[in-house]
Order: sequence, then structure tokens, then C-alpha cells
Amino acid sequence: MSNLFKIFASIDRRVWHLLTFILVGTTLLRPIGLPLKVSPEVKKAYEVIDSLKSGDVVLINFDIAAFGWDEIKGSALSMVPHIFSKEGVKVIFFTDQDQGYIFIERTIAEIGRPMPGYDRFPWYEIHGKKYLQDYINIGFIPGFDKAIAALAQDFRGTVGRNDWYGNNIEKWLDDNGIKSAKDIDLILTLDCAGAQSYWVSYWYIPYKTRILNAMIGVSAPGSIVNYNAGMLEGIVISIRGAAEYQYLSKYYGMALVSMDAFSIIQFMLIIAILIGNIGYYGWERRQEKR
Amino acid sequence: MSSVIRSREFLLAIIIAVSFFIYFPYFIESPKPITDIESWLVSTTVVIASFAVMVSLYTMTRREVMRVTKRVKGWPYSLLMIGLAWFMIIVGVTLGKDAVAFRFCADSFILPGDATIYAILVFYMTSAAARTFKVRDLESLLLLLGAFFVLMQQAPLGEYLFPWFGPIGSWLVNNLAMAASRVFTISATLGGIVLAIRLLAGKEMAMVGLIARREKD
Repeated sequence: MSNLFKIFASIDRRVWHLLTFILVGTTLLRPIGLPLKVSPEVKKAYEVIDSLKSGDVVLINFDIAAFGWDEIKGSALSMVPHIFSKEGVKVIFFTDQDQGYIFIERTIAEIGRPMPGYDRFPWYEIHGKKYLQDYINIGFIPGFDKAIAALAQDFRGTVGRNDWYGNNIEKWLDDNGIKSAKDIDLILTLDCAGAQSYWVSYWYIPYKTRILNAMIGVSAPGSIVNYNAGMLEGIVISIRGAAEYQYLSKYYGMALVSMDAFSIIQFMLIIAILIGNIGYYGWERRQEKR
Repeated sequence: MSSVIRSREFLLAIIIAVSFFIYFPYFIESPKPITDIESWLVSTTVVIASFAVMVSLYTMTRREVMRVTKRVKGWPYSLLMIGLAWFMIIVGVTLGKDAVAFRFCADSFILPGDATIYAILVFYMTSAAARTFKVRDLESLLLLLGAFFVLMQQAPLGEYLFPWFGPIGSWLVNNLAMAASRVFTISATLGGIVLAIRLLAGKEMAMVGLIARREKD
């Protein structure tokens, strides 16, 4: 018996790495299709987007860097097309991360297609919405929290005259009545670096702008606090939330598929902790006492 | 003129004025001229942030060049870092952000590298779970129990097999974790207000390097 405890206490880390690789790989390649319960906060986020009316202006912030893209893309690829599916809704893409514009383009390329006669960005059509008619991309503004604050203080001045690609957007902004932050009806912030707290500080508190937030797992605690305080209308947490949103919106994707791997790896974590503790009490602790 | 600009009083006056125009309108309804100055100051920080990137580039290059010239351990990595950083800058500035070479470097090196480093975490987490999360005392037992219930609540399989764990996990997240998190948020906010008062009173000198200078004097 003590041999077994000794084995448990001294399992090589590479064994855990190999087990992780095999379990995640297998469940990703052959999903089991485990049942999924939709949480109230994701349902709320879905309902907010679903209730958008013609003429509403939505600002989508890509607070996304490469490290978090795989975790947040399930939310991006279901929430963004859901917004675009609402008739008459106008959209402004923005990013507070230097890599963010890459992920805006990746999202657009995934959910849209080039407009007739065009073959490059920004001339893409998403759910019938055309660039510079229904949506624009103002791209990256440096400063992170300062950029978010500056947009709230002086939206037109911070955005400037041109979009990310150098096209004049003044007419588009004028035509859609966007003069200041007060004219933005909804913000969706897809967070890898916890930008939601700045949107709350600079947009929700002074203007009561409605904010939805999808985020990677490590940013969840801050978002849950603001959601429970009523400052975020809805939150979509990590891949689990994205899977729930994909299920609700019927924009099925990798988040739903990876839910099985997500479950398996969380069970493996629990088993690893159990095995580690059995080894500790059966072998290591006894050795320490001797 | 330069002595006036470098004087402690001048820097102090700037800090007090900027603090006033930023903090005052945030907390108190203010007339338009004050909010206009606030907007201008906030917009100016975006420009300053852009220049800060150049400063960081300068300091990074200086530090890495010194490492290379002194041949400190790992100096070839410094050389690689300088080369790649300046290659990206030169290509980006001369050919533009949509140039094939720039996009190739971003798509083929930066993005996969960044994502890989983050993804590797899952392997470390599983091996760390077995090797370090050990119940040595009551506190660690409570921590582990909390983690166990939240993990069970988060995993769809856990919720399916043991539905009674879900409410326990939710209660922990929405009550205990929430209380701790709010304490942190409120403390940080109070700290921010105290900082604002100290700035307005001219007591916060560290941010302009005045404390260091005073010690030197």
C-alpha cells in the first residue's frame, strides 16, 4: 500500500502533461456532446442584443490580444453576428489593444464576405450590412484606459476624421447622429485585459450607457462584481459562456465543441488534486514526520 | 525659463491644476468650461501614451544593447529581440501595417507565440494541481473545498452528474468571493480618492520624481 502512496506522491509532471494532451486532444477531436445549462447572465446578454432596435448604435470593443483569442473567439463569433443580424442597427468596431485590429479583421472575415467588386478590408459585408453604410472600424487608439476615457469625453475628437483604413467617416457619423458618447446605445466589450471596469467608470457612470461584457476566465471576478451591481447588463464568461451564447443564438462553433474538453480537464484537475493529497498523506507526510 | 520649468513649484502647480480639472468634474456637476478642459486633458493623455511607446522602445533598445555588449547570460536572445523589434518597426513604418511582410511576422510569429505561451498554462496547471495543492492546514482545506465546488459548478459534466454542487458553487461565487472582491474594489476606490486629495494638496510628489531629487539634494 505504501508503494502506491509513494507512486502517487512522485508522479512525474510529464505524465500529467501527457494525460492532459491526450484527454484534451481526444475530446476535441471526438466530442461527446455533454448537456449544457444556460446561465441567467448569458441569457440576459442574449436578450439585450436580441432587443436592439433599428437605429441603435453599438460600439464593439476588441480588448483582445493573441493570448486570449482562442478563449474569447467563441463569444466574438456568436455575439458579433447576432448584433449584425438585427435590422437597422449600426456598428462601430474599436480596439484598445495594438493587436486588436487583427482580430477585428479575423472576426469580420469569418462571419462576413467581401462586398461585390472588392477583395480586401475594410470592404466586407456582414448579414447584408455594408462597410461605411452600416458599420465602420475606427481601429486601435493607444492609451487603453485613457483611450476609453477620451472616447467618452470627446468621441468625435478622439475618433478623428478617418477610420482605421484612412477613409473619411465624418459623413457616416453625422448621418447616424453620432456626436458624442451619449449617442452610443450599447457597448459590447470583448475582454482579455479587463477593459470593462474602464467602460463602467467612463461610460456607464456618467452616461448610463448599457454595457455587455464577454471575457476570458481570469477577468471574470471583476466582471461578476460589476454585473451583480447592475453596471453590466449581461456577461459571457470564458468558453463556457461562449458555448451557452452559441447555443442560444444558434451560431454554433468551437466553444460548444470544446465544452467536453473543458469538462474533462476540470475533472482531471480535481483527480490530480485528490491523487496529490493521497500521496501526500500516505507517503510524503509520513516521511516528513520521520 | 528652463529653471522655472524645472522648479518644484512649477511641477507642483501643474499637478494640482491637472488633478483639479480631472477629479472635480468626475465627482461634481461642473460648468462647461471646466468639462472642456477635462476633455482636452483626457484627449492629451492619448497623445502622450503614443509617445510613451517611443520612450519604451528607446529604453528597451538601450537595455538590450548593453546586455549584448557586456555579453551577459542569454545575450543572444537580446540580440534576437532587438533585431525582431526593429525589423517590425522598420517594415511597419515604411511599408505600412497591411504590408505582406508585416502581416507575415504578426500572423506567423507574434500571434502563435503569444497564444502558445498562454495555452501551455493548462499543462502546468494540471501538474501543479497534483504537486502543490495539498491540505496542510485548515486554511488550505477551505481553499481546496471552495475550488472544488466552483470547478464542479463550472464544468457542464460536474453540473450534470452532481446537480447539488451547482448551488453551492454559485453561493460561494456570489457571496463569499463577491464580498472579498468588493472589499478590494472599495479599498482601491478609497485609495484613489485619497490620492486625488493628496495630489490636490500638493502632497504627492513621487510621480514627478521630486522625492528622489529631494533625497539627492
